[in-house]
Amino acid sequence: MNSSVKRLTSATGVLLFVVVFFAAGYILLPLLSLLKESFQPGGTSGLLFSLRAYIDIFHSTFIEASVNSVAISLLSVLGSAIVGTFLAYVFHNFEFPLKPIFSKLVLVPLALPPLVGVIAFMFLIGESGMLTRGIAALFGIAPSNLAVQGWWGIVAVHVYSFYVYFYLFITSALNQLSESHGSIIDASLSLGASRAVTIRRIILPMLTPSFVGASLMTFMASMASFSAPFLFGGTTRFLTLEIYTAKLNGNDANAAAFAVMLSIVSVGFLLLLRWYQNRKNYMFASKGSGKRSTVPHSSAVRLFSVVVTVSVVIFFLLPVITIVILSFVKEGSWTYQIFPEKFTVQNFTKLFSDPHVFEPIANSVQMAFVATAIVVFIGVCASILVVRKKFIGKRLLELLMNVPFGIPGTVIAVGLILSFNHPSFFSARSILIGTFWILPLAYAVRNLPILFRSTASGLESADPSLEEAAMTLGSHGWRTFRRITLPLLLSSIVSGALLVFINSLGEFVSSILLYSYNTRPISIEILSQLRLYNVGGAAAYCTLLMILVMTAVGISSRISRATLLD
Amino acid sequence: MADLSLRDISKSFGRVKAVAPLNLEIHSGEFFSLLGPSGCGKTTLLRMVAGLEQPTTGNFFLNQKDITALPPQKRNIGLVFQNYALFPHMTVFQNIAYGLEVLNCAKREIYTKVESVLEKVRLSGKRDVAIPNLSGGEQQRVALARALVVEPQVLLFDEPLSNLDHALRLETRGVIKQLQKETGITSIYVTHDQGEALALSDRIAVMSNGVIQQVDTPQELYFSPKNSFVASFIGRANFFSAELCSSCFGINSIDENEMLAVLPEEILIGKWMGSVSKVDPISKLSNDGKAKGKIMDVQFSGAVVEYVIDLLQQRVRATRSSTAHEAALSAGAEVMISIPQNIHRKVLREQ
Ligand SMILES: Nc1ncnc2c1ncn2[C@@H]1O[C@H](COP(=O)(O)OP(=O)(O)OP(=O)(O)O)[C@@H](O)[C@H]1O
Ligand SMILES: [Mg+2]
Repeated sequence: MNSSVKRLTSATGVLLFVVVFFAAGYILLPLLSLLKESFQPGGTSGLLFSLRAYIDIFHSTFIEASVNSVAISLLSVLGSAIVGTFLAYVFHNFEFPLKPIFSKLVLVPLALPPLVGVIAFMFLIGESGMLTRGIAALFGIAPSNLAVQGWWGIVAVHVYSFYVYFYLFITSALNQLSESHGSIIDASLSLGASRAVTIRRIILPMLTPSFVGASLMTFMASMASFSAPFLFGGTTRFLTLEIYTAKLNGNDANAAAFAVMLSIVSVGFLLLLRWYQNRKNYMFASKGSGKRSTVPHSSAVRLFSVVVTVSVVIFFLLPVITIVILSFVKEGSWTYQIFPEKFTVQNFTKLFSDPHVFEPIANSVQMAFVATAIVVFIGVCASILVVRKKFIGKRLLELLMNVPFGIPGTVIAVGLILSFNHPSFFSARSILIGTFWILPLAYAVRNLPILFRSTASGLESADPSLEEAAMTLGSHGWRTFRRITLPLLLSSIVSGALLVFINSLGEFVSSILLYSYNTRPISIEILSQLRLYNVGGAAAYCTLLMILVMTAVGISSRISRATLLD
Repeated sequence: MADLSLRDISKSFGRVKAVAPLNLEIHSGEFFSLLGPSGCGKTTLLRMVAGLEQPTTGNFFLNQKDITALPPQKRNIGLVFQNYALFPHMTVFQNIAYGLEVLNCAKREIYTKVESVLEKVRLSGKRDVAIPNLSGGEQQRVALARALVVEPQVLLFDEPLSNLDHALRLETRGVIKQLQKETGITSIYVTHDQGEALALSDRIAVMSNGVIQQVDTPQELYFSPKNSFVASFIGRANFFSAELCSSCFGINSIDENEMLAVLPEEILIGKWMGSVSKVDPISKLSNDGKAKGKIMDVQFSGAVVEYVIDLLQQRVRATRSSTAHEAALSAGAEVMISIPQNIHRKVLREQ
């Protein structure tokens, strides 16, 4: 009877159906399947429900793996916080030659998909690493004494990949601080407070929200990390590895129980993060005066900080350089030498000329396209629903869209396996496991939050009165969407989609549980090439991935700059 | 040409009553204003007329036809937004052409119509400019052109001038008034600036807290307000109780439950000569009905000077043309204050 309700039913109904179908079938169902499997009684006890799997994992490796996972995550947070905050502070406060270039290079670790980063570190500072061997030869020590391995290898990779959370969070907080509150720093100094007091009493408290946010993100990412423990961990147990091992051993119930436990921690942290971010903090956006207020430092401190920063940034480049060098190494030519000696471009020509070598690339590109298409479609529909429409259960839907962000890829993969290793309503009654489709589906689920968030925030900042203006001019739903909403959202959609695409191209964590020989993606092939000691071939794939990532990042930053200029 | 009636319209957001049930008849071709302080429900009412919000109760009739259930797209009611709501990714031309494209007009027709409306809003040279490169006043006129070009039956304005500086506001006000006259489109204009409403409107509805206080012509509202809210909001009137009227000004016709509303420009003031009976030679205030007050503050604002006077603990606002200002009437000076005997503007005493 109320016509606003009537209007809700047509277009919104379709959107709602599509999004709820996806969320229920591919996000909620896998999680429920996990839960169900973890309570599987097993054997012939005739029970419907049992804690057997939980008791089992508690008695075997759960405690050990949890302690290790938490410990490695805490170390990673600590290391990332130190590196990220230091870099942010130096780049914010000091001027030095070539700073614009260094401030770009400092983000280079973003260009390495997790697996590529781990491999680069192995060949840089691992036992057979070039840096390790080089220094060892220089000082006449055995490389195995120098090699960064096991725990420290994992922490090193984590800091390399996750310091960026701290760097970006703190940088933006410092920018806001000096733009909107520049006078606060000046005021503190003019009231006679020393540098140390100003930093401790004024700057640090105002940075707290960013610290907490970045710490939670880093902790979550480290808990979920798979590639680093997988390749560096040796026999040490970690939760993500335990899930994988149990699944590989065919012990589904134990794998599910591990996965449930890990998810509880991860989702708990996700909720904590959201709660924390939704709280009011004291940063308000304001029109900056363009003037930057900074705390003065003595020239010795400046010099030291800048030298350290420049060294760190150069060190950041080493993994990339390592991979690029390795990609030219002739197959089987590098064994005991400090540095590889025989080089060839064959690794690259083969990528595109040898059909067997090209197949994983074709697979990855196809699957990344499919995943991106799914994510864009579902993500855009969902963000319109959540930002613009009113309906019951909206908060729940929004949460479901964000949940995969907090859930480790291993868990998502196991959940999908348990949901689709038998005919299901959501797979049109066919078995998806072993087919092509399960991989892009997993990539889509994992990456949905990225696009959903970027589109939703784009939509939130787009003035709803623009759509209303179109309506009063007679423009109906679809036309308004196509002519007004979509163009305004385009830059957030495109940059989100590029990110999803490159994540999917290099995706390893869920692939390793879901691939079959014919659908093997690049990341899996990298691993097989390494197992065959074809370092050059593996590195060529890695280089290709890095180039694609950098291209995508370049396009995306150009787009956002173009829209900023508007 | 269209007339619009609002019957029993009300709107609540949850527990917030934004608009109380109200009735209004807006005549064909009329320039009608909704005037009231911030938060009184003007925007809500306007959005309901446009169809962007559904009323909680009541119906809208456009030319006697019930349009309450029609979506905004089918109402043919234009709206000029407070923040203009221009499409940032389109040029001036594309913005204005949008509504015509929706109507499936031919290319040539669109072109000529846009050109002609651009001329009307004095933006002929700006056809292909991108929106962000326009000044605030120009953006405002593009918004006006975009709403006008589809020839709506009713045109709604939501505080269209509030983001402009003073001079631009006066100029754009002139453009709006002239266009409305030329096209004869029934218009509803929302504002909280009483000067703007008085200058533009055929009739004004004064709103407060979601309730319409009075609907009248500008002159009637100004000189014959129905209650103290209208008197103070429109004319910034002073209110004098029956007791004060009789003891200070010798006026005995006011009831206990009434107050006399006196506009600032009606208050007579003169130099205090030491006693009530002495006449100030310049203002020549007559002998009876005078009281002694003290000037607390003098505010010069160009055409008029405003005196804030303390009269038996009550603040009284009086204005004079600034050419009649005397140096003796400065802050701290004692003055004689009086009101003409022919003022009978009474309003009910507020509880
Ligand atoms: N969508 C909404 N949900 C809840 N309350 C609302 C909503 N829109 C308006 N209100 C409330 O209704 C009342 C009237 O708001 P409205 O915007 O109509 O006022 P206004 O007269 O246009 O004020 P202003 O001059 O500041 O624009 C306010 O108390 C406001 O908080
Ligand atoms: Mg308003």
